[in-house]
Amino acid sequence: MALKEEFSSRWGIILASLGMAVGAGNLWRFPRLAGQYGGTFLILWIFFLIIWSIPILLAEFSIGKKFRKGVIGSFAGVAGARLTWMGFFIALCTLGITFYYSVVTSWSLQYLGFSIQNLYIETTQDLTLTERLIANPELLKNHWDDVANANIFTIILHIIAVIAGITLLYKGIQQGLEKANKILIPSLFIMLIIISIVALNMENGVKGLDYMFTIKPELFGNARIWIEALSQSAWSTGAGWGLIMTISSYSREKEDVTLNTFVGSFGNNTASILAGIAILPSVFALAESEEAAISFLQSGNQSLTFTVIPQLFAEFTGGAVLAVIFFTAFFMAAFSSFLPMLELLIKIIGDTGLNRHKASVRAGVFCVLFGFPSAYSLNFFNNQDWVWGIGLIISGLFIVFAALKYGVKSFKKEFIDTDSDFKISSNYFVTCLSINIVLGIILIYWWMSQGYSQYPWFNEAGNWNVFDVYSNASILTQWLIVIIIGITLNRWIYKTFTR
Amino acid sequence: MSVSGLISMIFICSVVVGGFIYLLLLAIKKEKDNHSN
Repeated sequence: MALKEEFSSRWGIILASLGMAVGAGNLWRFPRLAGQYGGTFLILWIFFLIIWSIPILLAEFSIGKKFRKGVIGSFAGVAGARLTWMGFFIALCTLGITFYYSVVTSWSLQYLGFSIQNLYIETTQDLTLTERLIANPELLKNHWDDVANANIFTIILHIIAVIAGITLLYKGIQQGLEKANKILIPSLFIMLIIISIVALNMENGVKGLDYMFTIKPELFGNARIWIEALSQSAWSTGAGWGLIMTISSYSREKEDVTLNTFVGSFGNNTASILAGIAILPSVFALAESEEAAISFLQSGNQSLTFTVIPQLFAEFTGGAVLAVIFFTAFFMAAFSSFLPMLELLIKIIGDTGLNRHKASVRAGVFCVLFGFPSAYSLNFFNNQDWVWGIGLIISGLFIVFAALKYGVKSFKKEFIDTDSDFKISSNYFVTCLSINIVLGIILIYWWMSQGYSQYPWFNEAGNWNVFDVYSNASILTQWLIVIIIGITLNRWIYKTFTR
Repeated sequence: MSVSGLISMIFICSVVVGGFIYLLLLAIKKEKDNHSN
Protein backbone atom coordinates (compact mmCIF):
# COMPACT_ATOMS: atom_id res chain seq x y z
CA MET A 1 0.00 0.00 0.00
CA ALA A 2 1.64 3.27 -1.17
CA LEU A 3 1.65 6.44 0.95
CA LYS A 4 -1.64 8.19 0.03
CA GLU A 5 -1.13 11.93 0.17
CA GLU A 6 -1.20 14.82 -2.28
CA PHE A 7 -0.02 18.41 -2.65
CA SER A 8 -2.62 21.01 -1.67
CA SER A 9 -2.25 22.98 -4.90
CA ARG A 10 -0.36 23.38 -8.16
CA TRP A 11 2.10 25.70 -6.38
CA GLY A 12 3.03 22.95 -3.95
CA ILE A 13 4.19 20.68 -6.76
CA ILE A 14 5.85 23.51 -8.74
CA LEU A 15 7.82 24.63 -5.66
CA ALA A 16 8.78 21.02 -4.96
CA SER A 17 10.03 20.65 -8.58
CA LEU A 18 12.03 23.86 -8.22
CA GLY A 19 13.42 22.78 -4.84
CA MET A 20 14.42 19.45 -6.32
CA ALA A 21 16.16 20.97 -9.36
CA VAL A 22 17.79 24.06 -7.84
CA GLY A 23 20.69 22.67 -5.86
CA ALA A 24 24.41 22.97 -5.27
CA GLY A 25 25.10 22.42 -8.99
CA ASN A 26 23.37 25.69 -9.85
CA LEU A 27 25.71 27.58 -7.54
CA TRP A 28 29.00 25.79 -7.86
CA ARG A 29 29.05 24.20 -11.33
CA PHE A 30 26.96 26.41 -13.59
CA PRO A 31 28.80 29.75 -12.92
CA ARG A 32 32.13 27.97 -13.44
CA LEU A 33 31.15 26.74 -16.91
CA ALA A 34 29.29 29.91 -17.91
CA GLY A 35 32.33 32.01 -17.02
CA GLN A 36 34.73 29.78 -18.95
CA TYR A 37 32.72 29.19 -22.11
CA GLY A 38 30.37 32.21 -22.16
CA GLY A 39 27.23 32.63 -24.24
CA THR A 40 28.15 29.72 -26.52
CA PHE A 41 27.76 27.38 -23.55
CA LEU A 42 24.48 29.06 -22.54
CA ILE A 43 22.94 28.60 -26.01
CA LEU A 44 23.85 24.89 -25.99
CA TRP A 45 22.65 24.53 -22.40
CA ILE A 46 19.22 25.91 -23.42
CA PHE A 47 19.24 23.64 -26.50
CA PHE A 48 19.82 20.55 -24.35
CA LEU A 49 17.15 21.65 -21.87
CA ILE A 50 14.68 21.29 -24.74
CA ILE A 51 16.22 18.15 -26.28
CA TRP A 52 17.31 16.07 -23.27
CA SER A 53 15.89 17.35 -19.99
CA ILE A 54 12.30 18.35 -20.74
CA PRO A 55 11.29 15.15 -22.62
CA ILE A 56 12.75 12.94 -19.86
CA LEU A 57 11.15 15.05 -17.12
CA LEU A 58 7.79 14.89 -18.95
CA ALA A 59 8.08 11.10 -19.06
CA GLU A 60 9.07 10.88 -15.38
CA PHE A 61 6.38 13.28 -14.17
CA SER A 62 3.65 11.41 -16.05
CA ILE A 63 4.81 7.96 -14.87
CA GLY A 64 4.78 9.07 -11.21
CA LYS A 65 1.37 10.68 -11.59
CA LYS A 66 -0.10 7.60 -13.28
CA PHE A 67 1.14 4.89 -10.90
CA ARG A 68 1.47 6.93 -7.66
CA LYS A 69 4.20 4.69 -6.26
CA GLY A 70 7.88 5.11 -5.54
CA VAL A 71 10.44 4.94 -8.34
CA ILE A 72 10.68 1.12 -8.37
CA GLY A 73 6.91 0.53 -8.34
CA SER A 74 6.11 3.26 -10.86
CA PHE A 75 8.86 2.15 -13.25
CA ALA A 76 7.66 -1.45 -13.05
CA GLY A 77 4.17 -0.15 -13.83
CA VAL A 78 5.21 1.32 -17.16
CA ALA A 79 8.06 -1.02 -18.19
CA GLY A 80 6.57 -4.28 -16.93
CA ALA A 81 7.40 -6.63 -14.06
CA ARG A 82 10.38 -8.23 -15.85
CA LEU A 83 12.18 -4.88 -16.08
CA THR A 84 11.69 -3.85 -12.44
CA TRP A 85 15.49 -4.11 -12.03
CA MET A 86 15.84 -0.97 -14.16
CA GLY A 87 13.68 0.95 -11.68
CA PHE A 88 15.81 -0.57 -8.93
CA PHE A 89 18.94 0.79 -10.65
CA ILE A 90 17.39 4.29 -10.98
CA ALA A 91 16.47 4.25 -7.28
CA LEU A 92 19.88 2.98 -6.13
CA CYS A 93 21.70 5.47 -8.37
CA THR A 94 19.84 8.43 -6.86
CA LEU A 95 20.25 6.98 -3.38
CA GLY A 96 23.99 6.78 -4.05
CA ILE A 97 23.82 10.55 -4.48
CA THR A 98 21.42 11.06 -1.55
CA PHE A 99 23.86 9.40 0.84
CA TYR A 100 26.57 11.97 0.10
CA TYR A 101 24.27 14.94 -0.51
CA SER A 102 23.67 15.32 3.21
CA VAL A 103 27.43 15.93 3.36
CA VAL A 104 27.13 18.81 0.87
CA THR A 105 24.43 20.23 3.17
CA SER A 106 26.78 19.67 6.10
CA TRP A 107 29.62 21.56 4.35
CA SER A 108 27.26 24.44 3.55
CA LEU A 109 26.37 24.66 7.25
CA GLN A 110 30.05 24.51 8.21
CA TYR A 111 30.83 27.41 5.86
CA LEU A 112 27.78 29.35 6.98
CA GLY A 113 29.17 29.04 10.52
CA PHE A 114 32.65 29.97 9.26
CA SER A 115 31.36 33.12 7.51
CA ILE A 116 29.34 34.14 10.59
CA GLN A 117 32.48 33.64 12.69
CA ASN A 118 34.46 35.84 10.27
CA LEU A 119 31.78 38.51 10.45
CA TYR A 120 31.95 38.37 14.26
CA ILE A 121 35.77 38.62 14.32
CA GLU A 122 35.66 41.52 11.86
CA THR A 123 33.17 43.51 13.92
CA THR A 124 34.55 42.75 17.39
CA GLN A 125 38.32 42.51 16.83
CA ASP A 126 38.59 44.67 13.70
CA LEU A 127 40.61 41.89 12.06
CA THR A 128 39.49 41.06 8.54
CA LEU A 129 39.80 37.70 6.84
CA THR A 130 42.15 39.31 4.31
CA GLU A 131 44.50 40.35 7.14
CA ARG A 132 44.39 36.83 8.53
CA LEU A 133 45.09 35.47 5.01
CA ILE A 134 48.19 37.69 4.79
CA ALA A 135 49.41 36.18 8.06
CA ASN A 136 48.51 32.68 6.86
CA PRO A 137 47.99 32.41 3.06
CA GLU A 138 47.00 28.74 3.39
CA LEU A 139 44.21 29.50 5.90
CA LEU A 140 41.28 28.78 3.56
CA LYS A 141 42.87 25.77 1.89
CA ASN A 142 43.74 24.27 5.27
CA HIS A 143 40.24 24.99 6.53
CA TRP A 144 38.71 23.17 3.54
CA ASP A 145 41.06 20.17 3.94
CA ASP A 146 40.08 20.09 7.60
CA VAL A 147 36.33 20.31 6.89
CA ALA A 148 36.35 17.65 4.16
CA ASN A 149 38.41 14.96 5.89
CA ALA A 150 37.65 13.20 9.18
CA ASN A 151 36.09 16.31 10.69
CA ILE A 152 33.82 15.60 13.66
CA PHE A 153 31.66 18.69 13.00
CA THR A 154 31.09 17.63 9.37
CA ILE A 155 29.94 14.23 10.62
CA ILE A 156 27.71 15.77 13.30
CA LEU A 157 26.21 18.26 10.82
CA HIS A 158 25.64 15.42 8.32
CA ILE A 159 23.58 13.65 11.01
CA ILE A 160 21.77 16.91 11.89
CA ALA A 161 20.96 17.55 8.19
CA VAL A 162 19.42 14.08 7.91
CA ILE A 163 17.47 14.47 11.17
CA ALA A 164 16.21 17.93 10.10
CA GLY A 165 15.08 16.56 6.73
CA ILE A 166 13.39 13.53 8.25
CA THR A 167 11.68 15.68 10.93
CA LEU A 168 10.16 17.83 8.17
CA LEU A 169 9.12 14.93 5.94
CA TYR A 170 7.79 12.93 8.90
CA LYS A 171 4.94 15.47 9.02
CA GLY A 172 3.79 14.54 5.52
CA ILE A 173 3.74 16.15 2.10
CA GLN A 174 1.57 19.19 2.83
CA GLN A 175 2.81 19.90 6.35
CA GLY A 176 6.44 18.99 5.60
CA LEU A 177 7.80 19.27 2.06
CA GLU A 178 5.26 21.83 0.84
CA LYS A 179 5.66 24.17 3.84
CA ALA A 180 9.48 23.95 3.77
CA ASN A 181 9.62 24.80 0.07
CA LYS A 182 7.31 27.79 0.55
CA ILE A 183 10.09 29.30 2.69
CA LEU A 184 13.23 27.88 1.07
CA ILE A 185 12.61 28.65 -2.61
CA PRO A 186 11.45 32.30 -2.44
CA SER A 187 14.22 33.05 0.11
CA LEU A 188 16.82 31.44 -2.16
CA PHE A 189 15.73 33.54 -5.16
CA ILE A 190 15.71 36.75 -3.05
CA MET A 191 19.23 36.05 -1.72
CA LEU A 192 20.59 35.39 -5.21
CA ILE A 193 19.05 38.67 -6.40
CA ILE A 194 20.68 40.57 -3.47
CA ILE A 195 24.13 39.11 -4.23
CA SER A 196 23.65 39.87 -7.96
CA ILE A 197 22.84 43.53 -7.26
CA VAL A 198 25.87 43.95 -4.97
CA ALA A 199 28.18 42.13 -7.40
CA LEU A 200 27.06 44.17 -10.41
CA ASN A 201 27.76 47.39 -8.54
CA MET A 202 31.42 46.46 -8.00
CA GLU A 203 34.06 48.02 -10.19
CA ASN A 204 34.66 45.67 -13.17
CA GLY A 205 31.65 43.61 -12.09
CA VAL A 206 30.06 44.03 -15.52
CA LYS A 207 33.13 42.35 -17.06
CA GLY A 208 31.86 39.10 -15.53
CA LEU A 209 28.59 39.52 -17.43
CA ASP A 210 30.53 40.05 -20.63
CA TYR A 211 32.34 36.74 -20.11
CA MET A 212 29.10 35.02 -19.18
CA PHE A 213 26.97 36.12 -22.12
CA THR A 214 29.22 36.86 -25.11
CA ILE A 215 28.69 34.26 -27.82
CA LYS A 216 31.86 33.18 -29.62
CA PRO A 217 30.71 31.30 -32.77
CA GLU A 218 34.07 29.52 -33.15
CA LEU A 219 33.47 27.73 -29.82
CA PHE A 220 30.52 25.84 -31.35
CA GLY A 221 33.17 23.65 -32.97
CA ASN A 222 34.50 22.58 -29.56
CA ALA A 223 33.05 19.18 -28.58
CA ARG A 224 33.85 19.69 -24.89
CA ILE A 225 31.42 22.62 -24.66
CA TRP A 226 28.60 20.54 -26.13
CA ILE A 227 29.28 17.77 -23.62
CA GLU A 228 29.53 20.19 -20.67
CA ALA A 229 26.26 21.87 -21.70
CA LEU A 230 24.45 18.54 -22.02
CA SER A 231 25.89 17.25 -18.73
CA GLN A 232 24.98 20.45 -16.89
CA SER A 233 21.39 20.32 -18.16
CA ALA A 234 21.06 16.61 -17.34
CA TRP A 235 22.46 16.92 -13.81
CA SER A 236 20.94 20.26 -12.90
CA THR A 237 17.32 19.75 -13.95
CA GLY A 238 17.12 16.38 -12.21
CA ALA A 239 16.16 14.57 -15.43
CA GLY A 240 16.60 10.83 -14.97
CA TRP A 241 16.97 10.98 -11.18
CA GLY A 242 13.49 9.62 -10.40
CA LEU A 243 12.92 12.60 -8.10
CA ILE A 244 10.21 14.25 -10.18
CA MET A 245 8.62 10.78 -10.47
CA THR A 246 8.46 10.69 -6.68
CA ILE A 247 7.13 14.25 -6.38
CA SER A 248 4.46 13.72 -9.05
CA SER A 249 3.26 10.56 -7.29
CA TYR A 250 1.75 13.00 -4.78
CA SER A 251 0.14 15.21 -7.45
CA ARG A 252 -3.56 15.92 -7.46
CA GLU A 253 -5.67 13.65 -9.63
CA LYS A 254 -5.98 16.14 -12.52
CA GLU A 255 -2.53 17.74 -12.42
CA ASP A 256 -1.13 19.35 -15.56
CA VAL A 257 1.97 17.35 -16.56
CA THR A 258 3.23 19.51 -19.41
CA LEU A 259 2.91 23.02 -18.01
CA ASN A 260 4.24 22.08 -14.57
CA THR A 261 7.27 20.36 -16.11
CA PHE A 262 8.04 23.40 -18.27
CA VAL A 263 7.67 25.80 -15.29
CA GLY A 264 10.03 23.68 -13.17
CA SER A 265 12.60 23.32 -15.96
CA PHE A 266 12.70 27.00 -16.92
CA GLY A 267 12.65 27.95 -13.21
CA ASN A 268 15.75 25.84 -12.65
CA ASN A 269 17.56 27.54 -15.53
CA THR A 270 16.47 30.97 -14.27
CA ALA A 271 18.00 30.16 -10.88
CA SER A 272 21.21 29.14 -12.67
CA ILE A 273 21.34 32.41 -14.62
CA LEU A 274 20.82 34.31 -11.35
CA ALA A 275 23.61 32.33 -9.69
CA GLY A 276 25.89 33.16 -12.63
CA ILE A 277 25.03 36.87 -12.37
CA ALA A 278 25.68 36.69 -8.61
CA ILE A 279 29.05 34.91 -8.74
CA LEU A 280 30.81 35.82 -12.00
CA PRO A 281 30.83 39.63 -11.55
CA SER A 282 32.31 39.09 -8.05
CA VAL A 283 35.02 36.80 -9.43
CA PHE A 284 35.96 39.18 -12.24
CA ALA A 285 35.73 42.32 -10.09
CA LEU A 286 37.81 40.95 -7.23
CA ALA A 287 40.40 38.78 -9.01
CA GLU A 288 43.78 40.45 -9.70
CA SER A 289 43.46 39.94 -13.45
CA GLU A 290 41.18 38.34 -16.02
CA GLU A 291 43.62 35.42 -16.27
CA ALA A 292 43.39 34.95 -12.49
CA ALA A 293 39.57 35.02 -12.71
CA ILE A 294 39.56 32.34 -15.43
CA SER A 295 42.02 30.28 -13.42
CA PHE A 296 39.69 30.48 -10.38
CA LEU A 297 36.82 29.23 -12.54
CA GLN A 298 38.90 26.27 -13.70
CA SER A 299 39.74 25.26 -10.14
CA GLY A 300 36.79 22.89 -9.65
CA ASN A 301 33.42 23.04 -7.90
CA GLN A 302 34.54 22.55 -4.32
CA SER A 303 37.58 24.80 -4.62
CA LEU A 304 35.60 27.66 -6.20
CA THR A 305 32.92 27.57 -3.51
CA PHE A 306 34.94 26.87 -0.40
CA THR A 307 38.30 28.55 -1.00
CA VAL A 308 37.97 31.09 -3.81
CA ILE A 309 34.63 32.72 -2.95
CA PRO A 310 35.38 33.31 0.78
CA GLN A 311 38.75 34.82 -0.25
CA LEU A 312 37.19 37.09 -2.88
CA PHE A 313 34.34 38.22 -0.64
CA ALA A 314 36.89 39.10 2.06
CA GLU A 315 38.48 41.69 -0.23
CA PHE A 316 35.82 44.38 -0.03
CA THR A 317 33.83 46.20 2.64
CA GLY A 318 30.62 44.36 3.39
CA GLY A 319 32.03 41.16 1.90
CA ALA A 320 31.68 39.34 5.21
CA VAL A 321 27.93 40.02 5.18
CA LEU A 322 27.72 38.92 1.55
CA ALA A 323 29.53 35.68 2.42
CA VAL A 324 26.90 34.95 5.09
CA ILE A 325 24.12 35.56 2.52
CA PHE A 326 25.90 33.40 -0.08
CA PHE A 327 26.36 30.41 2.23
CA THR A 328 22.79 30.73 3.52
CA ALA A 329 21.62 30.57 -0.12
CA PHE A 330 23.98 27.64 -0.73
CA PHE A 331 22.57 25.80 2.28
CA MET A 332 18.98 26.45 1.16
CA ALA A 333 19.74 25.19 -2.36
CA ALA A 334 21.44 22.05 -1.02
CA PHE A 335 18.76 21.33 1.60
CA SER A 336 15.83 21.92 -0.78
CA SER A 337 17.34 19.30 -3.13
CA PHE A 338 18.14 16.93 -0.28
CA LEU A 339 14.48 16.83 0.86
CA PRO A 340 13.09 15.21 -2.33
CA MET A 341 16.00 12.75 -2.27
CA LEU A 342 14.96 11.70 1.23
CA GLU A 343 11.34 11.58 0.09
CA LEU A 344 12.34 9.22 -2.73
CA LEU A 345 13.61 6.76 -0.14
CA ILE A 346 10.63 7.28 2.19
CA LYS A 347 8.21 6.63 -0.69
CA ILE A 348 10.03 3.44 -1.73
CA ILE A 349 10.04 2.14 1.85
CA GLY A 350 6.38 3.18 2.16
CA ASP A 351 5.58 1.00 -0.86
CA THR A 352 6.47 -2.07 1.22
CA GLY A 353 3.42 -1.35 3.36
CA LEU A 354 4.90 0.81 6.13
CA ASN A 355 3.26 4.09 7.15
CA ARG A 356 5.02 7.45 6.67
CA HIS A 357 6.35 7.66 10.22
CA LYS A 358 8.00 4.24 10.17
CA ALA A 359 9.27 4.75 6.62
CA SER A 360 10.76 8.16 7.55
CA VAL A 361 12.66 6.80 10.55
CA ARG A 362 14.08 3.92 8.51
CA ALA A 363 15.07 6.30 5.69
CA GLY A 364 16.84 8.53 8.23
CA VAL A 365 18.81 5.63 9.68
CA PHE A 366 19.88 4.48 6.19
CA CYS A 367 21.01 8.01 5.25
CA VAL A 368 23.01 8.55 8.43
CA LEU A 369 24.77 5.18 8.09
CA PHE A 370 25.45 5.17 4.35
CA GLY A 371 26.36 8.88 4.30
CA PHE A 372 29.00 8.41 6.98
CA PRO A 373 31.87 7.30 4.69
CA SER A 374 31.42 10.40 2.48
CA ALA A 375 31.25 12.63 5.56
CA TYR A 376 34.49 11.08 6.77
CA SER A 377 36.50 10.98 3.55
CA LEU A 378 36.57 13.41 0.61
CA ASN A 379 37.97 10.67 -1.62
CA PHE A 380 34.97 8.46 -0.88
CA PHE A 381 32.67 11.44 -1.54
CA ASN A 382 34.35 12.16 -4.89
CA ASN A 383 34.16 8.49 -5.90
CA GLN A 384 30.42 8.32 -5.20
CA ASP A 385 29.84 11.64 -6.97
CA TRP A 386 31.71 10.30 -10.00
CA VAL A 387 30.11 6.82 -10.09
CA TRP A 388 26.48 7.82 -9.56
CA GLY A 389 26.75 11.17 -11.40
CA ILE A 390 27.55 9.26 -14.60
CA GLY A 391 25.09 6.55 -13.55
CA LEU A 392 22.30 9.13 -13.84
CA ILE A 393 22.77 9.08 -17.61
CA ILE A 394 22.01 5.33 -17.53
CA SER A 395 18.93 6.11 -15.41
CA GLY A 396 17.81 8.67 -18.01
CA LEU A 397 18.31 6.08 -20.75
CA PHE A 398 16.21 3.53 -18.82
CA ILE A 399 13.35 6.05 -18.62
CA VAL A 400 13.65 6.76 -22.35
CA PHE A 401 13.69 2.99 -22.99
CA ALA A 402 10.52 2.51 -20.89
CA ALA A 403 8.65 5.16 -22.92
CA LEU A 404 9.90 3.68 -26.21
CA LYS A 405 8.94 0.17 -25.12
CA TYR A 406 5.44 1.32 -24.23
CA GLY A 407 5.13 3.05 -27.62
CA VAL A 408 6.05 6.73 -27.63
CA LYS A 409 2.87 8.02 -29.23
CA SER A 410 0.60 5.94 -26.97
CA PHE A 411 2.74 6.95 -23.99
CA LYS A 412 2.36 10.64 -24.82
CA LYS A 413 -1.39 10.32 -25.37
CA GLU A 414 -2.18 8.19 -22.31
CA PHE A 415 0.40 9.54 -19.82
CA ILE A 416 1.31 13.13 -20.72
CA ASP A 417 -1.62 14.65 -22.61
CA THR A 418 -4.24 13.63 -20.07
CA ASP A 419 -5.16 16.72 -18.03
CA SER A 420 -2.44 18.84 -19.71
CA ASP A 421 -3.68 22.31 -20.70
CA PHE A 422 -1.26 22.57 -23.61
CA LYS A 423 0.12 19.68 -25.56
CA ILE A 424 3.59 19.22 -27.02
CA SER A 425 4.00 17.93 -30.56
CA SER A 426 4.27 14.16 -30.93
CA ASN A 427 7.07 14.60 -33.46
CA TYR A 428 9.08 16.65 -30.94
CA PHE A 429 8.67 14.03 -28.22
CA VAL A 430 9.44 11.05 -30.47
CA THR A 431 12.46 12.76 -32.07
CA CYS A 432 13.97 13.90 -28.77
CA LEU A 433 13.63 10.52 -27.08
CA SER A 434 15.25 8.82 -30.07
CA ILE A 435 18.12 11.35 -30.16
CA ASN A 436 18.57 10.98 -26.40
CA ILE A 437 19.67 7.36 -26.75
CA VAL A 438 22.60 8.48 -28.91
CA LEU A 439 23.32 11.48 -26.64
CA GLY A 440 23.31 9.30 -23.52
CA ILE A 441 25.78 6.81 -25.01
CA ILE A 442 28.08 9.65 -26.17
CA LEU A 443 27.96 11.21 -22.69
CA ILE A 444 28.88 8.01 -20.89
CA TYR A 445 31.69 7.26 -23.36
CA TRP A 446 33.01 10.86 -23.10
CA TRP A 447 33.16 11.02 -19.32
CA MET A 448 34.71 7.56 -19.03
CA SER A 449 37.40 8.41 -21.57
CA GLN A 450 38.53 11.67 -19.95
CA GLY A 451 41.47 10.09 -18.19
CA TYR A 452 40.79 11.52 -14.72
CA SER A 453 42.32 8.32 -13.39
CA GLN A 454 45.91 7.44 -14.28
CA TYR A 455 44.92 3.79 -14.48
CA PRO A 456 41.28 3.71 -15.64
CA TRP A 457 40.95 -0.09 -15.74
CA PHE A 458 44.01 -1.89 -14.31
CA ASN A 459 46.54 -0.55 -11.81
CA GLU A 460 50.34 -0.74 -12.07
CA ALA A 461 50.35 -4.28 -10.72
CA GLY A 462 47.83 -5.33 -13.39
CA ASN A 463 44.92 -5.71 -10.95
CA TRP A 464 41.36 -4.47 -11.55
CA ASN A 465 41.61 -0.84 -10.31
CA VAL A 466 38.37 -0.84 -8.34
CA PHE A 467 39.51 1.30 -5.40
CA ASP A 468 40.72 4.28 -7.43
CA VAL A 469 38.50 7.39 -6.95
CA TYR A 470 37.96 8.17 -10.64
CA SER A 471 38.66 4.83 -12.34
CA ASN A 472 36.30 3.30 -14.88
CA ALA A 473 36.83 0.00 -13.06
CA SER A 474 35.23 1.51 -9.96
CA ILE A 475 32.30 2.87 -11.98
CA LEU A 476 31.64 -0.38 -13.81
CA THR A 477 32.01 -2.54 -10.70
CA GLN A 478 29.49 -0.53 -8.66
CA TRP A 479 27.01 -0.30 -11.52
CA LEU A 480 27.28 -4.04 -12.21
CA ILE A 481 26.80 -4.94 -8.54
CA VAL A 482 23.51 -2.99 -8.52
CA ILE A 483 22.37 -4.39 -11.88
CA ILE A 484 23.23 -8.01 -10.96
CA ILE A 485 21.42 -7.71 -7.61
CA GLY A 486 18.47 -6.09 -9.40
CA ILE A 487 18.23 -8.81 -12.07
CA THR A 488 18.77 -11.67 -9.60
CA LEU A 489 16.15 -10.41 -7.15
CA ASN A 490 13.87 -8.93 -9.83
CA ARG A 491 10.78 -10.95 -8.87
CA TRP A 492 11.19 -10.27 -5.13
CA ILE A 493 11.78 -6.55 -5.75
CA TYR A 494 8.66 -6.39 -7.91
CA LYS A 495 6.48 -8.13 -5.32
CA THR A 496 7.89 -6.09 -2.42
CA PHE A 497 7.67 -2.61 -3.93
CA THR A 498 4.41 -2.86 -5.88
CA ARG A 499 2.07 -3.85 -3.07
CA MET B 1 30.08 45.82 -21.48
CA SER B 2 30.47 44.99 -25.18
CA VAL B 3 27.53 45.41 -27.57
CA SER B 4 27.65 41.75 -28.59
CA GLY B 5 27.65 40.73 -24.90
CA LEU B 6 24.68 42.99 -24.22
CA ILE B 7 22.69 41.65 -27.18
CA SER B 8 23.38 38.02 -26.18
CA MET B 9 22.45 38.79 -22.57
CA ILE B 10 19.12 40.28 -23.62
CA PHE B 11 18.42 37.32 -25.92
CA ILE B 12 19.39 34.60 -23.43
CA CYS B 13 17.60 36.23 -20.47
CA SER B 14 14.48 36.80 -22.60
CA VAL B 15 14.36 33.12 -23.51
CA VAL B 16 15.14 31.68 -20.05
CA VAL B 17 13.88 34.21 -17.50
CA GLY B 18 11.16 35.56 -19.83
CA GLY B 19 10.10 32.00 -20.60
CA PHE B 20 9.90 31.17 -16.90
CA ILE B 21 7.81 34.26 -16.08
CA TYR B 22 5.50 33.62 -19.05
CA LEU B 23 4.96 29.98 -18.05
CA LEU B 24 4.39 30.96 -14.43
CA LEU B 25 1.76 33.52 -15.44
CA LEU B 26 0.14 30.94 -17.71
CA ALA B 27 0.01 28.49 -14.80
CA ILE B 28 -1.59 31.16 -12.58
CA LYS B 29 -4.22 31.86 -15.27
CA LYS B 30 -4.99 28.17 -15.77
CA GLU B 31 -5.29 27.62 -12.04
CA LYS B 32 -7.75 30.55 -11.75
CA ASP B 33 -9.76 29.20 -14.71
CA ASN B 34 -9.90 25.75 -13.14
CA HIS B 35 -11.11 27.22 -9.84
CA SER B 36 -13.82 29.34 -11.52
CA ASN B 37 -15.07 26.26 -13.42
